[in-house]
Amino acid sequence: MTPHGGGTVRGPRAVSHVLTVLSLWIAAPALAGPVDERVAALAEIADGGLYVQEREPLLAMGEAALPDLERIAGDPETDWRVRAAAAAARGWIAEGERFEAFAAAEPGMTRAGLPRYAKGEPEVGLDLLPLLVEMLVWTEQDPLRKLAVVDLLRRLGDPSTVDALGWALAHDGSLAVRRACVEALERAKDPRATGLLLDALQGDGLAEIRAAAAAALGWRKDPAALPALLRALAGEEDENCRSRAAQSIGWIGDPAGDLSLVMALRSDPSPRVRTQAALALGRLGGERAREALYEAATSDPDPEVVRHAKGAIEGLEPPAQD
Amino acid sequence: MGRLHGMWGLAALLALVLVVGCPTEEPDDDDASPASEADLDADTDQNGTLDASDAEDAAEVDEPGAVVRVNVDDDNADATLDCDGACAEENDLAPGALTLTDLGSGDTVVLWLDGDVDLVRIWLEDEPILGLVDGVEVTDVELEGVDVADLWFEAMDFNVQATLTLEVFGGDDELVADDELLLSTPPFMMFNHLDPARTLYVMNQNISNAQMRNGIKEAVGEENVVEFPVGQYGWDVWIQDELEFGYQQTPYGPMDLVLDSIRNGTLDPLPEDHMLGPDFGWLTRGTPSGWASSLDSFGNLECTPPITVDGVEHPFGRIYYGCKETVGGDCVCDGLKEFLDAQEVQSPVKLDSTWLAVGHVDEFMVFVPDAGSDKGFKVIMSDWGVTRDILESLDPNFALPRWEDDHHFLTVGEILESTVIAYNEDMDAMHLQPMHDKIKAEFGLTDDDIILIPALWERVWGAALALAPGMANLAVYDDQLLIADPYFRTPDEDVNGDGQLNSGEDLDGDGELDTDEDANGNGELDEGEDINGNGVLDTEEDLNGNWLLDEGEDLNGNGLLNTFRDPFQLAFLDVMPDGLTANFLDNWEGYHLWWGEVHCGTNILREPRSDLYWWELGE
Repeated sequence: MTPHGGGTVRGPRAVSHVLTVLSLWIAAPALAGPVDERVAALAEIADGGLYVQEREPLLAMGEAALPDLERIAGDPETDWRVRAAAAAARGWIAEGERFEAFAAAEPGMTRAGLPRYAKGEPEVGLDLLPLLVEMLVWTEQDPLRKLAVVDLLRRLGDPSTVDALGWALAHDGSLAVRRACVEALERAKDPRATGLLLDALQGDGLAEIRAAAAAALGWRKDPAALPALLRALAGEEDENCRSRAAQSIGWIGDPAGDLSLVMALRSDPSPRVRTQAALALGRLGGERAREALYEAATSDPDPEVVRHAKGAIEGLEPPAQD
Repeated sequence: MGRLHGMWGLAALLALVLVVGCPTEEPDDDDASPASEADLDADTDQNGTLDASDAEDAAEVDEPGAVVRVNVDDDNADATLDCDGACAEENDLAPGALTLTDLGSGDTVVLWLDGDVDLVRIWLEDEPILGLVDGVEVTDVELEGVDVADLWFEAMDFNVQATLTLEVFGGDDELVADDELLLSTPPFMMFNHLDPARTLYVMNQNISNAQMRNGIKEAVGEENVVEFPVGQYGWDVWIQDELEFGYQQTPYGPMDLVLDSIRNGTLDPLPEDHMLGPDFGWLTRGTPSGWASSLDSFGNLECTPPITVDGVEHPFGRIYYGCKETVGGDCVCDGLKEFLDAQEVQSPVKLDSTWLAVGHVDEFMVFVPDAGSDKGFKVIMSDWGVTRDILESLDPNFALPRWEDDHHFLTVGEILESTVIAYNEDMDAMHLQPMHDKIKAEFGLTDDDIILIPALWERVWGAALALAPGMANLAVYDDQLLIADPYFRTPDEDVNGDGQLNSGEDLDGDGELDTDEDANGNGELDEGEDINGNGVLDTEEDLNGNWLLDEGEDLNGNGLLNTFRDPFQLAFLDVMPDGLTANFLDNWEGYHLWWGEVHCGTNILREPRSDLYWWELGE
């Protein structure tokens, strides 16, 4: 079974595509053979239509290409994009019917209207991971379908997809897709997900993504995220981002976060941030937290902050007796 | 004449000729000729009969006056609301009459209509004469050659009032007689979970929800369940969200209504396809602009049973829906909010549901019958304290095989070590405890009226989503509770019958927990295995595939013996009011994984109240 093709490309755009491929081909490192070269070139293509077009000759090699594709896909020393492109090509040759069925399947909708693939018809399994990565990174997809792809990657939770999720978090054109990548990385078992989320927290241009990354890092409870979260709490301009950072510091539960939380509870202008700082201090405990919470419970101008400070105090261990 | 009246109209007409009208202004006239009289009559005492009684005359201009049915059903089944098209089978017009006596030869008779003129229609015999007539607003009409005639009233919308005035002018244009009649429409009344159930609707997803549908039929009776093929509606299973059943009360009987949500999923045509019809009206509120908010789905629209709040009785209960109460906060669309606010009889309450990923009030609380209590009901509410106690009481190795694939938690211990715990503490402090206080205040409840059940939330897209299938998100069909099975258990608990939970045991000594012997990961013990070595294949010990061993107790009374111990289910059963039957249904694949539970996937048409009418309520 041959895989489905993409749209044909004609005219000046086609010339440009040819030049792109040629330049990539020339620039490709010296590789073992034609399969390696084709895959390396394929992995660099940014245009979805061109990707599908240039994939055709590789797939036309059929089962003869499988040993090379499997070798490339399984080589941990190879760049993840090249491995992913090889795995996808291997899947199209070996599992073409299954790939085609899934690629054509329409996602359903959750009760809140977010797209989601069902687990059956076609049955979803780890063997589809290369296709899902290809749909996320290379081929042209409707953003709703991409959202469903990322949601499925999150549910499958396979470590091999972390690189692709990180790439899409940084590069996808859809804010919703990028946001979904944060969700998926939050649950990924692979520890590299923390680093990708830290990149987003510290470098993304959109506050919504930075805030989502802050919350995701807290959910992961990875202590490695604490310094960046403390910096975000102290220095982020965005209120939501500081609020999420405070919450996450509490979730991680490292007492080293208490001083920053105390400062936020005392002086952050946002009641949302002070509320989260109060909840987090209640979780961390300690004398410094107790003092700050008492202070907030009696003097914070916002009733919600006062309420949560009081609630946090109730949950603290009794003070140590001298 | 004829198509509107029937015997009732004839009787009314005969009665009317005996009636002496009631002129409101005595002509200042020394002429010996009798004074002209003008009389409008309608069933303003709401006894269901047009009898021109003193009681009717006395109430002609007092609210509600004549109750005019909103004619939004489809008696001739032409897929058009009757108020929008011609309908020969019409049976929904409110009767009235006009009587003119002793008119002078030069007298002029005029009928006037004031108020919501474009939303009512007045018929004289079988001709529309006032209100919206052929698309044009008509406010007055001069009558010639009429002395006694039938009037008929219909309305095109809810929350409508109009005043009909009959005036007689003498030859010198002096007013010599008049009469006035107030016309009002009924409110759209919502059902509550204690109202007797008539029919349960559910989408048929074939095998995906077969167990749930079978369980429902077993609980409420197959004859009371209507299934629609989900494939015809774009695989949209959220029938609770697409429509809200209600009714309008009039002196001439109730009319079933379906309020069609603007969520406009692929279920959108269903209310028109299957509900709109003779004596079953249809309406919608709000205008979808782009992607409708999830708050506009009707899992987010509920009504309490009758309650008293700070001495104020709400005998029809209070509507409640999820909304952020801060200025500019997310809320249901303006059209729906204004419609519900104007309803008044079930004065709405807003609860903050915007902390939830789906955002619906049915996710964390539900009213259920409790015949043994003073109020007749209890509120079931999700609670973290109950949940925490259960989790902390369990062996951390307590296995949750059904949760592994989809939620990535294999044991209770993994949950306890995760951020789920801190997150649920936060949700409790920030939302559920304030909600607890809020519903006590708004619904006049005490702690004794609220029973707390376990629930676990996870954070998805920055908001809370049911991690454990939400048991509070249940449907009430009389004394049957239709509840999402939490699957907080292993399928092979107590396999050796020693009365102890076996999670974590390695009965066959192969070095793996027995729940790990589900080699194909389909959530079922592998066929042919004999895990407990009793000589019986384990798949034969769960003959109906319901994840419950077939030996032991029959806890849910379904005729199958169960030895399972699901601590979430047991906690629910422990606090459930007497007289109710809990039916835990498998909605995992078809609903839970798609962010909804049993209530979201069902809808129940109930009996309109007939022991009390809205017009009997005082100011």
